[in-house]
Amino acid sequence: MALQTITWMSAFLCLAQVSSMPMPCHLQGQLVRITHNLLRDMGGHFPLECLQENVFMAFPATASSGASQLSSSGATAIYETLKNIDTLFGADDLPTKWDQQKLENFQNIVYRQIEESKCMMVSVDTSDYLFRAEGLKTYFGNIAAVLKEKNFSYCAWEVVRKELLYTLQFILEHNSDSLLWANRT
Amino acid sequence: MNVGFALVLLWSLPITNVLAELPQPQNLTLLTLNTQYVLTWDWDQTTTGNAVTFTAEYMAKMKKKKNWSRVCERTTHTRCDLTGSDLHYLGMYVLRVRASADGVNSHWVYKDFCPDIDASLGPPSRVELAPVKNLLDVTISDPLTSTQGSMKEHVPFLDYRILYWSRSDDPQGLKPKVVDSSNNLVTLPELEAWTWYCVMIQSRYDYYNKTSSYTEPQCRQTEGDTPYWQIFLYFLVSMMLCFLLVLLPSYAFFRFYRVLKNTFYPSIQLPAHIQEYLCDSSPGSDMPRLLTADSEAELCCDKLTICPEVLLLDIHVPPPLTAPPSELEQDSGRHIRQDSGDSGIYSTEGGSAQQGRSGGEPIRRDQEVDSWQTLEQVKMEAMGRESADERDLDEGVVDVCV
Repeated sequence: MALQTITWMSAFLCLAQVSSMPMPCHLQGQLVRITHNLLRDMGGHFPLECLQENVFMAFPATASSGASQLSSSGATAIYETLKNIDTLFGADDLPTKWDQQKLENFQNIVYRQIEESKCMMVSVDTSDYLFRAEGLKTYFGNIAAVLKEKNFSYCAWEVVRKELLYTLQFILEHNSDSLLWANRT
Repeated sequence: MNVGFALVLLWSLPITNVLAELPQPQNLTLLTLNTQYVLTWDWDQTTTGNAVTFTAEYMAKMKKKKNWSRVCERTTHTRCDLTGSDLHYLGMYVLRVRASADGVNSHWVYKDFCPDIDASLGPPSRVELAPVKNLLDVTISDPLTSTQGSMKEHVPFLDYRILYWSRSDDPQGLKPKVVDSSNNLVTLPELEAWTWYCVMIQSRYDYYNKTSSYTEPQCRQTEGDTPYWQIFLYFLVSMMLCFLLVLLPSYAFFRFYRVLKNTFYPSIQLPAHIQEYLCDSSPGSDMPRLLTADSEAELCCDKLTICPEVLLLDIHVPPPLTAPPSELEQDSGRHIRQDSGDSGIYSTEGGSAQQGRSGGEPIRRDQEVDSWQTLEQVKMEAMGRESADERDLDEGVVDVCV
Protein backbone atom coordinates (compact mmCIF):
# COMPACT_ATOMS: atom_id res chain seq x y z
CA MET A 1 0.00 0.00 0.00
CA ALA A 2 2.71 2.44 1.04
CA LEU A 3 4.75 1.35 -1.93
CA GLN A 4 1.89 2.06 -4.24
CA THR A 5 1.43 5.53 -2.79
CA ILE A 6 5.11 6.25 -3.14
CA THR A 7 5.07 5.01 -6.73
CA TRP A 8 2.16 7.23 -7.62
CA MET A 9 3.75 10.18 -5.85
CA SER A 10 7.05 9.70 -7.65
CA ALA A 11 5.28 9.24 -10.95
CA PHE A 12 3.42 12.42 -10.32
CA LEU A 13 6.63 14.22 -9.39
CA CYS A 14 8.34 12.92 -12.48
CA LEU A 15 5.45 14.11 -14.58
CA ALA A 16 5.57 17.48 -12.90
CA GLN A 17 9.23 17.84 -13.72
CA VAL A 18 9.26 16.42 -17.24
CA SER A 19 6.13 18.04 -18.55
CA SER A 20 6.61 21.44 -20.15
CA MET A 21 2.98 22.38 -20.16
CA PRO A 22 2.31 25.47 -18.09
CA MET A 23 0.64 24.22 -14.95
CA PRO A 24 -1.18 26.67 -12.74
CA CYS A 25 0.81 25.51 -9.74
CA HIS A 26 4.02 27.15 -10.70
CA LEU A 27 5.37 30.44 -9.64
CA GLN A 28 5.54 32.80 -12.52
CA GLY A 29 8.93 34.41 -12.95
CA GLN A 30 7.31 37.48 -14.42
CA LEU A 31 5.30 38.07 -11.27
CA VAL A 32 8.39 37.76 -9.03
CA ARG A 33 10.15 40.27 -11.22
CA ILE A 34 7.23 42.68 -10.98
CA THR A 35 7.14 42.22 -7.22
CA HIS A 36 10.80 43.15 -7.03
CA ASN A 37 10.28 46.18 -9.29
CA LEU A 38 7.38 47.48 -7.25
CA LEU A 39 9.34 47.15 -4.02
CA ARG A 40 12.23 49.00 -5.61
CA ASP A 41 10.07 51.79 -7.00
CA MET A 42 7.87 52.50 -4.01
CA GLY A 43 10.72 54.38 -2.35
CA GLY A 44 13.95 56.00 -3.46
CA HIS A 45 17.52 54.99 -2.70
CA PHE A 46 18.48 53.95 0.79
CA PRO A 47 18.31 57.19 2.77
CA LEU A 48 21.60 58.48 4.12
CA GLU A 49 20.21 59.25 7.53
CA CYS A 50 19.49 55.57 8.07
CA LEU A 51 23.02 54.40 7.36
CA GLN A 52 24.02 54.07 10.98
CA GLU A 53 20.94 51.97 11.65
CA ASN A 54 21.92 49.49 9.01
CA VAL A 55 22.02 45.99 10.39
CA PHE A 56 23.69 43.09 8.73
CA MET A 57 21.49 40.07 8.36
CA ALA A 58 22.81 36.81 7.04
CA PHE A 59 20.72 35.64 4.19
CA PRO A 60 20.28 31.88 4.08
CA ALA A 61 21.54 31.29 0.59
CA THR A 62 21.48 27.58 1.19
CA ALA A 63 17.77 27.77 1.63
CA SER A 64 17.13 28.35 -1.99
CA SER A 65 20.29 27.05 -3.63
CA GLY A 66 20.83 23.68 -5.23
CA ALA A 67 17.50 23.67 -6.94
CA SER A 68 17.27 21.94 -10.30
CA GLN A 69 14.98 22.83 -13.16
CA LEU A 70 11.40 23.20 -12.05
CA SER A 71 12.40 21.50 -8.84
CA SER A 72 9.72 21.66 -6.26
CA SER A 73 12.09 22.36 -3.40
CA GLY A 74 13.44 25.49 -4.96
CA ALA A 75 9.97 26.69 -5.79
CA THR A 76 8.68 25.98 -2.31
CA ALA A 77 11.51 27.98 -0.87
CA ILE A 78 10.45 30.89 -2.97
CA TYR A 79 6.89 30.29 -1.95
CA GLU A 80 7.87 30.36 1.67
CA THR A 81 9.80 33.57 1.12
CA LEU A 82 6.76 35.19 -0.38
CA LYS A 83 4.61 34.01 2.47
CA ASN A 84 6.96 35.52 4.96
CA ILE A 85 7.04 38.79 3.08
CA ASP A 86 3.28 38.84 3.11
CA THR A 87 3.26 38.32 6.85
CA LEU A 88 5.84 41.03 7.36
CA PHE A 89 3.95 43.57 5.30
CA GLY A 90 0.73 42.72 6.97
CA ALA A 91 1.68 45.05 9.78
CA ASP A 92 -0.36 48.10 10.38
CA ASP A 93 1.94 51.03 10.35
CA LEU A 94 3.78 50.91 7.07
CA PRO A 95 5.70 54.06 6.19
CA THR A 96 3.62 56.76 4.61
CA LYS A 97 6.63 58.14 2.74
CA TRP A 98 6.39 55.22 0.35
CA ASP A 99 4.20 55.37 -2.74
CA GLN A 100 0.97 54.00 -1.32
CA GLN A 101 -0.42 52.83 -4.64
CA LYS A 102 2.74 50.87 -5.44
CA LEU A 103 2.84 49.50 -1.93
CA GLU A 104 -0.71 48.30 -2.24
CA ASN A 105 -0.01 46.71 -5.62
CA PHE A 106 3.08 45.05 -4.17
CA GLN A 107 1.13 43.49 -1.35
CA ASN A 108 -1.62 42.52 -3.73
CA ILE A 109 0.65 40.67 -6.12
CA VAL A 110 2.52 38.91 -3.33
CA TYR A 111 -0.78 37.72 -1.95
CA ARG A 112 -1.95 36.62 -5.36
CA GLN A 113 1.15 34.55 -5.93
CA ILE A 114 0.66 32.81 -2.64
CA GLU A 115 -2.96 32.11 -3.49
CA GLU A 116 -2.09 30.73 -6.87
CA SER A 117 0.79 28.59 -5.71
CA LYS A 118 -0.89 27.05 -2.68
CA CYS A 119 -1.15 23.83 -4.60
CA MET A 120 2.62 23.65 -4.52
CA MET A 121 2.60 22.56 -0.92
CA VAL A 122 0.84 19.33 -1.86
CA SER A 123 3.73 17.64 -3.59
CA VAL A 124 6.67 18.49 -1.42
CA ASP A 125 9.76 16.64 -0.43
CA THR A 126 9.39 16.94 3.26
CA SER A 127 12.95 16.56 4.48
CA ASP A 128 14.39 19.03 2.05
CA TYR A 129 11.53 21.38 2.61
CA LEU A 130 11.96 21.40 6.35
CA PHE A 131 15.62 22.17 6.02
CA ARG A 132 15.02 25.08 3.73
CA ALA A 133 12.03 26.36 5.65
CA GLU A 134 14.06 26.43 8.83
CA GLY A 135 16.69 28.70 7.35
CA LEU A 136 14.10 31.07 6.00
CA LYS A 137 12.24 31.13 9.26
CA THR A 138 15.36 32.19 11.14
CA TYR A 139 16.08 34.90 8.61
CA PHE A 140 12.67 36.45 8.66
CA GLY A 141 12.58 36.14 12.41
CA ASN A 142 15.66 38.29 12.54
CA ILE A 143 14.09 40.88 10.33
CA ALA A 144 10.96 41.03 12.44
CA ALA A 145 13.06 41.37 15.58
CA VAL A 146 14.99 44.28 14.07
CA LEU A 147 11.74 45.98 13.18
CA LYS A 148 10.36 45.56 16.58
CA GLU A 149 13.57 46.68 18.18
CA LYS A 150 13.63 49.89 16.19
CA ASN A 151 10.00 50.41 16.96
CA PHE A 152 8.78 50.16 13.37
CA SER A 153 10.55 53.41 12.50
CA TYR A 154 10.94 54.61 8.97
CA CYS A 155 14.64 53.73 8.97
CA ALA A 156 13.85 50.23 10.20
CA TRP A 157 11.42 49.75 7.36
CA GLU A 158 13.98 51.03 4.91
CA VAL A 159 16.46 48.47 6.18
CA VAL A 160 13.84 45.78 5.77
CA ARG A 161 13.06 46.96 2.27
CA LYS A 162 16.73 46.86 1.37
CA GLU A 163 17.05 43.33 2.64
CA LEU A 164 13.99 42.11 0.80
CA LEU A 165 15.16 43.69 -2.40
CA TYR A 166 18.39 41.77 -2.06
CA THR A 167 16.47 38.56 -1.39
CA LEU A 168 14.24 38.94 -4.42
CA GLN A 169 17.22 39.82 -6.57
CA PHE A 170 18.97 36.70 -5.40
CA ILE A 171 15.98 34.57 -6.25
CA LEU A 172 15.72 36.06 -9.71
CA GLU A 173 19.37 35.53 -10.43
CA HIS A 174 20.07 32.13 -8.90
CA ASN A 175 16.72 30.49 -8.76
CA SER A 176 15.18 31.42 -12.02
CA ASP A 177 15.11 27.76 -12.99
CA SER A 178 12.53 27.15 -10.31
CA LEU A 179 10.31 29.78 -11.78
CA LEU A 180 8.17 29.49 -14.84
CA TRP A 181 9.09 31.87 -17.56
CA ALA A 182 6.87 32.12 -20.62
CA ASN A 183 8.71 31.22 -23.82
CA ARG A 184 8.76 33.84 -26.53
CA THR A 185 8.35 32.40 -30.01
CA MET B 1 -45.33 34.78 30.78
CA ASN B 2 -41.66 34.83 30.00
CA VAL B 3 -42.18 31.89 27.73
CA GLY B 4 -45.04 33.64 25.98
CA PHE B 5 -42.99 36.74 25.55
CA ALA B 6 -40.19 34.66 24.14
CA LEU B 7 -42.55 32.93 21.76
CA VAL B 8 -43.87 36.25 20.50
CA LEU B 9 -40.37 37.44 19.92
CA LEU B 10 -39.53 34.26 18.10
CA TRP B 11 -42.52 34.66 15.86
CA SER B 12 -41.91 38.29 15.14
CA LEU B 13 -38.31 37.85 14.31
CA PRO B 14 -38.83 35.74 11.20
CA ILE B 15 -41.67 38.08 10.13
CA THR B 16 -39.49 41.11 10.47
CA ASN B 17 -36.74 39.21 8.80
CA VAL B 18 -38.99 38.37 5.88
CA LEU B 19 -40.12 41.97 5.65
CA ALA B 20 -36.63 43.38 6.03
CA GLU B 21 -34.91 40.93 3.81
CA LEU B 22 -34.38 41.95 0.27
CA PRO B 23 -33.30 39.31 -2.18
CA GLN B 24 -29.72 39.43 -3.23
CA PRO B 25 -28.63 40.18 -6.74
CA GLN B 26 -28.02 36.94 -8.58
CA ASN B 27 -25.43 35.67 -11.02
CA LEU B 28 -22.67 38.14 -10.62
CA THR B 29 -20.73 38.11 -13.86
CA LEU B 30 -17.98 40.22 -15.27
CA LEU B 31 -18.03 41.34 -18.86
CA THR B 32 -14.48 42.16 -19.72
CA LEU B 33 -12.44 43.22 -22.68
CA ASN B 34 -8.77 44.03 -22.19
CA THR B 35 -8.88 46.50 -19.27
CA GLN B 36 -12.59 47.27 -19.47
CA TYR B 37 -14.51 45.53 -16.70
CA VAL B 38 -18.26 45.69 -16.26
CA LEU B 39 -19.89 43.88 -13.36
CA THR B 40 -23.41 42.72 -14.10
CA TRP B 41 -25.99 40.85 -12.08
CA ASP B 42 -29.53 39.62 -12.36
CA TRP B 43 -32.42 41.05 -10.47
CA ASP B 44 -35.92 39.76 -10.37
CA GLN B 45 -38.22 42.76 -10.82
CA THR B 46 -41.37 40.94 -9.90
CA THR B 47 -40.47 40.48 -6.26
CA THR B 48 -40.31 44.17 -5.45
CA GLY B 49 -42.07 46.63 -7.68
CA ASN B 50 -40.52 49.65 -5.98
CA ALA B 51 -37.47 51.44 -7.16
CA VAL B 52 -34.50 49.33 -6.22
CA THR B 53 -30.98 50.66 -6.20
CA PHE B 54 -27.72 48.78 -6.10
CA THR B 55 -24.37 49.48 -4.56
CA ALA B 56 -21.13 47.94 -5.74
CA GLU B 57 -17.76 47.95 -3.98
CA TYR B 58 -14.35 46.41 -4.42
CA MET B 59 -11.29 45.75 -2.32
CA ALA B 60 -7.89 44.16 -2.75
CA LYS B 61 -8.13 40.67 -1.42
CA MET B 62 -5.01 40.77 0.71
CA LYS B 63 -6.33 43.55 2.91
CA LYS B 64 -6.63 42.57 6.48
CA LYS B 65 -8.53 45.70 7.39
CA LYS B 66 -11.73 45.62 5.41
CA ASN B 67 -11.41 48.86 3.55
CA TRP B 68 -13.96 48.72 0.73
CA SER B 69 -13.90 51.21 -2.10
CA ARG B 70 -17.28 52.15 -3.43
CA VAL B 71 -17.65 52.18 -7.20
CA CYS B 72 -21.36 52.46 -7.95
CA GLU B 73 -23.59 54.06 -5.35
CA ARG B 74 -27.33 53.52 -5.55
CA THR B 75 -27.51 52.86 -9.23
CA THR B 76 -30.76 51.70 -10.80
CA HIS B 77 -28.98 49.71 -13.47
CA THR B 78 -28.01 46.12 -12.95
CA ARG B 79 -24.48 46.81 -14.03
CA CYS B 80 -21.45 48.70 -12.77
CA ASP B 81 -18.44 49.83 -14.78
CA LEU B 82 -15.17 49.23 -12.96
CA THR B 83 -12.88 50.47 -15.74
CA GLY B 84 -12.17 53.78 -14.09
CA SER B 85 -11.32 52.27 -10.73
CA ASP B 86 -7.73 51.67 -11.72
CA LEU B 87 -7.59 48.02 -10.80
CA HIS B 88 -4.10 46.64 -11.14
CA TYR B 89 -4.06 44.06 -13.89
CA LEU B 90 -2.05 41.57 -11.84
CA GLY B 91 -3.83 42.18 -8.58
CA MET B 92 -6.49 40.09 -6.93
CA TYR B 93 -9.70 41.79 -5.88
CA VAL B 94 -12.98 41.02 -4.25
CA LEU B 95 -16.14 42.65 -5.59
CA ARG B 96 -19.45 42.87 -3.80
CA VAL B 97 -22.94 44.08 -4.66
CA ARG B 98 -26.12 44.54 -2.68
CA ALA B 99 -29.57 45.84 -3.42
CA SER B 100 -31.36 48.56 -1.45
CA ALA B 101 -35.03 49.49 -1.36
CA ASP B 102 -36.90 51.63 1.14
CA GLY B 103 -33.95 51.84 3.44
CA VAL B 104 -33.58 48.11 3.54
CA ASN B 105 -30.44 46.48 2.22
CA SER B 106 -29.89 43.01 0.99
CA HIS B 107 -26.91 40.89 1.89
CA TRP B 108 -23.74 41.37 0.02
CA VAL B 109 -22.89 39.07 -2.84
CA TYR B 110 -19.14 38.51 -3.32
CA LYS B 111 -17.05 37.68 -6.27
CA ASP B 112 -13.29 37.26 -6.68
CA PHE B 113 -11.71 38.90 -9.61
CA CYS B 114 -8.18 38.93 -10.96
CA PRO B 115 -7.93 40.65 -14.35
CA ASP B 116 -4.80 38.72 -15.30
CA ILE B 117 -6.68 35.46 -14.94
CA ASP B 118 -10.28 36.40 -15.65
CA ALA B 119 -10.35 39.36 -18.03
CA SER B 120 -10.78 38.35 -21.64
CA LEU B 121 -8.45 39.52 -24.34
CA GLY B 122 -9.44 41.59 -27.34
CA PRO B 123 -8.31 41.05 -30.92
CA PRO B 124 -5.56 43.18 -32.47
CA SER B 125 -6.69 46.75 -32.86
CA ARG B 126 -5.48 47.08 -36.46
CA VAL B 127 -4.18 44.80 -39.18
CA GLU B 128 -2.45 46.02 -42.29
CA LEU B 129 -1.38 43.97 -45.26
CA ALA B 130 1.35 45.05 -47.61
CA PRO B 131 2.48 43.03 -50.61
CA VAL B 132 6.20 42.58 -51.02
CA LYS B 133 6.88 40.94 -54.35
CA ASN B 134 5.28 37.53 -53.94
CA LEU B 135 5.02 37.64 -50.12
CA LEU B 136 2.70 39.47 -47.77
CA ASP B 137 3.80 41.60 -44.83
CA VAL B 138 1.29 41.64 -41.99
CA THR B 139 1.55 44.54 -39.56
CA ILE B 140 -0.33 43.88 -36.32
CA SER B 141 -1.26 46.61 -33.85
CA ASP B 142 -1.64 45.40 -30.24
CA PRO B 143 -5.02 45.34 -28.54
CA LEU B 144 -5.54 48.57 -26.65
CA THR B 145 -6.23 49.25 -22.99
CA SER B 146 -8.93 51.66 -21.87
CA THR B 147 -6.28 54.42 -21.85
CA GLN B 148 -5.25 53.61 -25.45
CA GLY B 149 -2.00 52.00 -24.37
CA SER B 150 -0.80 48.63 -25.59
CA MET B 151 -1.98 45.51 -23.81
CA LYS B 152 1.59 44.27 -23.94
CA GLU B 153 2.41 46.38 -20.91
CA HIS B 154 0.12 44.16 -18.86
CA VAL B 155 0.57 40.98 -20.83
CA PRO B 156 4.20 40.92 -21.99
CA PHE B 157 3.90 37.49 -23.57
CA LEU B 158 1.05 38.27 -25.90
CA ASP B 159 1.08 36.05 -28.99
CA TYR B 160 -0.74 36.23 -32.26
CA ARG B 161 -2.17 33.45 -34.34
CA ILE B 162 -2.49 34.26 -38.01
CA LEU B 163 -4.76 32.28 -40.29
CA TYR B 164 -4.38 32.80 -44.01
CA TRP B 165 -5.78 31.17 -47.10
CA SER B 166 -5.91 31.70 -50.82
CA ARG B 167 -9.16 33.26 -51.94
CA SER B 168 -9.21 31.45 -55.23
CA ASP B 169 -8.50 27.98 -53.84
CA ASP B 170 -10.53 28.28 -50.65
CA PRO B 171 -13.14 31.04 -50.83
CA GLN B 172 -14.72 30.27 -47.45
CA GLY B 173 -11.47 29.95 -45.57
CA LEU B 174 -12.21 26.45 -44.35
CA LYS B 175 -8.67 25.13 -44.51
CA PRO B 176 -6.40 27.96 -43.58
CA LYS B 177 -2.71 27.82 -42.85
CA VAL B 178 -1.51 28.85 -39.41
CA VAL B 179 1.41 31.00 -38.30
CA ASP B 180 2.06 31.80 -34.63
CA SER B 181 4.17 34.77 -33.73
CA SER B 182 4.73 37.26 -30.95
CA ASN B 183 6.10 39.87 -33.32
CA ASN B 184 4.06 42.72 -34.65
CA LEU B 185 5.43 42.32 -38.16
CA VAL B 186 5.05 38.94 -39.77
CA THR B 187 5.90 37.92 -43.31
CA LEU B 188 3.75 35.12 -44.67
CA PRO B 189 6.00 32.69 -46.51
CA GLU B 190 5.58 30.58 -49.60
CA LEU B 191 2.85 32.45 -51.32
CA GLU B 192 2.08 32.47 -55.00
CA ALA B 193 2.48 35.59 -57.03
CA TRP B 194 -0.53 37.54 -58.28
CA THR B 195 -2.95 35.69 -55.98
CA TRP B 196 -5.52 37.02 -53.54
CA TYR B 197 -4.98 35.95 -49.94
CA CYS B 198 -7.19 36.57 -46.91
CA VAL B 199 -5.93 36.91 -43.34
CA MET B 200 -7.54 36.58 -39.89
CA ILE B 201 -5.67 37.24 -36.64
CA GLN B 202 -6.29 36.31 -33.03
CA SER B 203 -4.40 37.43 -29.94
CA ARG B 204 -3.53 34.82 -27.32
CA TYR B 205 -2.20 34.61 -23.79
CA ASP B 206 -1.15 31.01 -23.48
CA TYR B 207 -0.42 30.80 -19.75
CA TYR B 208 -4.02 31.36 -18.81
CA ASN B 209 -5.39 30.01 -22.08
CA LYS B 210 -6.83 33.32 -23.06
CA THR B 211 -7.75 33.72 -26.72
CA SER B 212 -9.45 36.62 -28.35
CA SER B 213 -11.91 36.56 -31.21
CA TYR B 214 -10.59 36.74 -34.74
CA THR B 215 -10.36 39.94 -36.68
CA GLU B 216 -12.47 40.39 -39.79
CA PRO B 217 -10.87 38.71 -42.80
CA GLN B 218 -8.77 41.10 -44.82
CA CYS B 219 -7.74 40.25 -48.34
CA ARG B 220 -4.85 41.44 -50.45
CA GLN B 221 -3.28 40.41 -53.69
CA THR B 222 0.38 39.49 -53.82
CA GLU B 223 2.57 40.90 -56.50
CA GLY B 224 5.32 39.32 -58.44
CA ASP B 225 7.86 39.92 -61.12
CA THR B 226 6.72 42.24 -63.84
CA PRO B 227 5.45 40.15 -66.75
CA TYR B 228 7.47 40.32 -69.97
CA TRP B 229 4.67 41.81 -72.03
CA GLN B 230 4.43 44.71 -69.62
CA ILE B 231 8.13 45.42 -69.84
CA PHE B 232 7.90 45.28 -73.63
CA LEU B 233 4.89 47.58 -73.67
CA TYR B 234 6.58 50.18 -71.47
CA PHE B 235 9.62 50.00 -73.68
CA LEU B 236 7.58 50.59 -76.82
CA VAL B 237 5.66 53.48 -75.33
CA SER B 238 8.76 55.19 -74.05
CA MET B 239 10.46 54.70 -77.37
CA MET B 240 7.54 56.27 -79.24
CA LEU B 241 7.43 59.17 -76.86
CA CYS B 242 11.11 59.75 -77.27
CA PHE B 243 10.75 59.64 -81.02
CA LEU B 244 7.87 62.11 -81.03
CA LEU B 245 9.34 64.54 -78.58
CA VAL B 246 13.01 64.39 -79.40
CA LEU B 247 13.88 62.85 -82.74
CA LEU B 248 11.14 64.27 -84.91
CA PRO B 249 11.68 67.91 -83.96
CA SER B 250 15.45 67.48 -84.26
CA TYR B 251 15.14 66.01 -87.73
CA ALA B 252 12.73 68.74 -88.82
CA PHE B 253 15.02 71.37 -87.47
CA PHE B 254 18.06 70.11 -89.33
CA ARG B 255 16.17 69.51 -92.55
CA PHE B 256 14.57 72.91 -92.76
CA TYR B 257 17.34 74.79 -91.05
CA ARG B 258 18.54 76.38 -94.28
CA VAL B 259 15.08 77.38 -95.36
CA LEU B 260 14.27 78.86 -92.01
CA LYS B 261 17.56 80.64 -91.81
CA ASN B 262 17.15 82.20 -95.22
CA THR B 263 13.60 83.20 -94.48
CA PHE B 264 14.14 84.91 -91.24
CA TYR B 265 17.83 85.75 -91.30
CA PRO B 266 18.84 86.27 -94.97
CA SER B 267 22.56 86.68 -95.60
CA ILE B 268 22.18 89.23 -98.40
CA GLN B 269 20.80 92.46 -97.15
CA LEU B 270 19.26 95.18 -99.24
CA PRO B 271 21.48 98.24 -99.69
CA ALA B 272 20.86 100.81 -97.14
CA HIS B 273 19.49 103.48 -99.46
CA ILE B 274 17.00 101.12 -101.01
CA GLN B 275 16.03 99.78 -97.70
CA GLU B 276 15.30 103.17 -96.32
CA TYR B 277 13.54 103.98 -99.51
CA LEU B 278 11.26 101.03 -99.11
CA CYS B 279 10.82 101.62 -95.52
CA ASP B 280 10.29 105.33 -95.73
CA SER B 281 6.63 105.74 -96.32
CA SER B 282 6.07 109.31 -95.23
CA PRO B 283 4.23 111.24 -97.84
CA GLY B 284 6.19 114.42 -97.45
CA SER B 285 9.56 113.10 -98.57
CA ASP B 286 10.91 113.97 -101.94
CA MET B 287 12.34 110.56 -102.72
CA PRO B 288 11.41 109.29 -106.12
CA ARG B 289 8.97 106.50 -105.95
CA LEU B 290 8.37 103.51 -108.04
CA LEU B 291 4.79 103.51 -107.31
CA THR B 292 2.87 106.57 -106.29
CA ALA B 293 -0.49 106.64 -104.81
CA ASP B 294 -2.16 107.93 -107.88
CA SER B 295 -0.25 105.81 -110.35
CA GLU B 296 -3.44 104.38 -111.59
CA ALA B 297 -4.62 107.76 -112.96
CA GLU B 298 -4.38 108.02 -116.68
CA LEU B 299 -1.64 110.15 -118.03
CA CYS B 300 -2.41 112.17 -121.15
CA CYS B 301 0.45 113.39 -123.14
CA ASP B 302 0.92 115.12 -126.52
CA LYS B 303 1.64 113.06 -129.54
CA LEU B 304 5.28 112.76 -130.02
CA THR B 305 6.97 111.62 -133.24
CA ILE B 306 10.55 110.78 -133.25
CA CYS B 307 12.57 111.40 -136.40
CA PRO B 308 16.15 111.65 -137.25
CA GLU B 309 17.56 115.09 -137.75
CA VAL B 310 18.77 116.25 -141.30
CA LEU B 311 22.50 116.74 -141.24
CA LEU B 312 24.19 119.94 -142.04
CA LEU B 313 27.70 119.09 -142.93
CA ASP B 314 30.46 121.65 -142.48
CA ILE B 315 32.55 120.82 -145.50
CA HIS B 316 35.25 122.97 -147.13
CA VAL B 317 34.11 123.68 -150.57
CA PRO B 318 37.09 123.78 -152.96
CA PRO B 319 37.43 126.66 -155.48
CA PRO B 320 34.91 126.64 -158.22
CA LEU B 321 37.55 125.88 -160.90
CA THR B 322 38.14 122.59 -160.01
CA ALA B 323 34.74 122.19 -158.79
CA PRO B 324 32.74 121.19 -161.83
CA PRO B 325 35.12 118.70 -163.26
CA SER B 326 35.69 117.41 -159.97
CA GLU B 327 32.04 117.18 -159.67
CA LEU B 328 31.86 115.37 -162.97
CA GLU B 329 34.75 113.34 -162.08
CA GLN B 330 33.27 112.89 -158.90
CA ASP B 331 30.28 111.58 -160.67
CA SER B 332 32.20 109.29 -162.85
CA GLY B 333 34.78 108.73 -160.41
CA ARG B 334 32.13 108.15 -158.12
CA HIS B 335 30.67 105.67 -160.37
CA ILE B 336 33.95 104.02 -160.93
CA ARG B 337 34.93 104.22 -157.45
CA GLN B 338 31.68 102.92 -156.54
CA ASP B 339 32.27 100.00 -158.72
CA SER B 340 35.57 99.24 -157.22
CA GLY B 341 34.87 100.40 -153.84
CA ASP B 342 31.76 100.05 -152.03
CA SER B 343 29.79 97.85 -154.18
CA GLY B 344 27.36 97.43 -151.47
CA ILE B 345 26.71 101.03 -151.15
CA TYR B 346 26.77 101.42 -154.95
CA SER B 347 23.98 99.09 -155.51
CA THR B 348 21.67 101.14 -153.59
CA GLU B 349 23.37 104.38 -154.13
CA GLY B 350 23.51 103.96 -157.81
CA GLY B 351 19.89 103.64 -158.05
CA SER B 352 19.31 106.54 -155.93
CA ALA B 353 21.97 108.56 -157.69
CA GLN B 354 20.52 107.81 -161.07
CA GLN B 355 17.19 108.81 -160.09
CA GLY B 356 17.76 112.31 -160.57
CA ARG B 357 19.94 113.92 -158.13
CA SER B 358 22.89 115.75 -159.53
CA GLY B 359 25.95 116.24 -157.56
CA GLY B 360 26.81 119.48 -156.19
CA GLU B 361 23.45 120.45 -155.22
CA PRO B 362 23.34 121.38 -151.59
CA ILE B 363 21.73 119.08 -149.40
CA ARG B 364 18.51 120.38 -148.08
CA ARG B 365 17.06 119.72 -144.83
CA ASP B 366 13.79 118.24 -145.63
CA GLN B 367 11.44 116.54 -143.22
CA GLU B 368 9.76 114.54 -145.88
CA VAL B 369 12.82 113.12 -147.47
CA ASP B 370 13.73 109.60 -146.87
CA SER B 371 16.33 109.57 -144.21
CA TRP B 372 18.29 106.66 -145.54
CA GLN B 373 18.68 108.22 -148.97
CA THR B 374 19.86 111.47 -147.56
CA LEU B 375 22.39 109.83 -145.35
CA GLU B 376 23.84 107.87 -148.20
CA GLN B 377 24.14 110.92 -150.36
CA VAL B 378 26.16 112.65 -147.78
CA LYS B 379 28.44 109.74 -147.52
CA MET B 380 28.91 109.53 -151.25
CA GLU B 381 29.85 113.11 -151.51
CA ALA B 382 32.31 112.81 -148.75
CA MET B 383 33.92 109.81 -150.32
CA GLY B 384 34.05 111.38 -153.76
CA ARG B 385 35.91 114.34 -152.44
CA GLU B 386 38.44 112.24 -150.87
CA SER B 387 39.20 110.22 -153.86
CA ALA B 388 39.42 113.06 -156.29
CA ASP B 389 41.49 115.32 -154.26
CA GLU B 390 43.88 114.32 -151.76
CA ARG B 391 43.34 117.42 -149.97
CA ASP B 392 42.61 117.72 -146.46
CA LEU B 393 39.04 117.81 -145.86
CA ASP B 394 37.72 118.88 -142.69
CA GLU B 395 35.98 116.17 -141.17
CA GLY B 396 32.39 116.74 -141.55
CA VAL B 397 30.41 117.05 -138.53
CA VAL B 398 27.50 114.93 -139.16
CA ASP B 399 24.47 115.75 -137.31
CA VAL B 400 22.15 112.98 -137.23
CA CYS B 401 18.92 113.45 -135.43
CA VAL B 402 17.46 110.56 -133.83
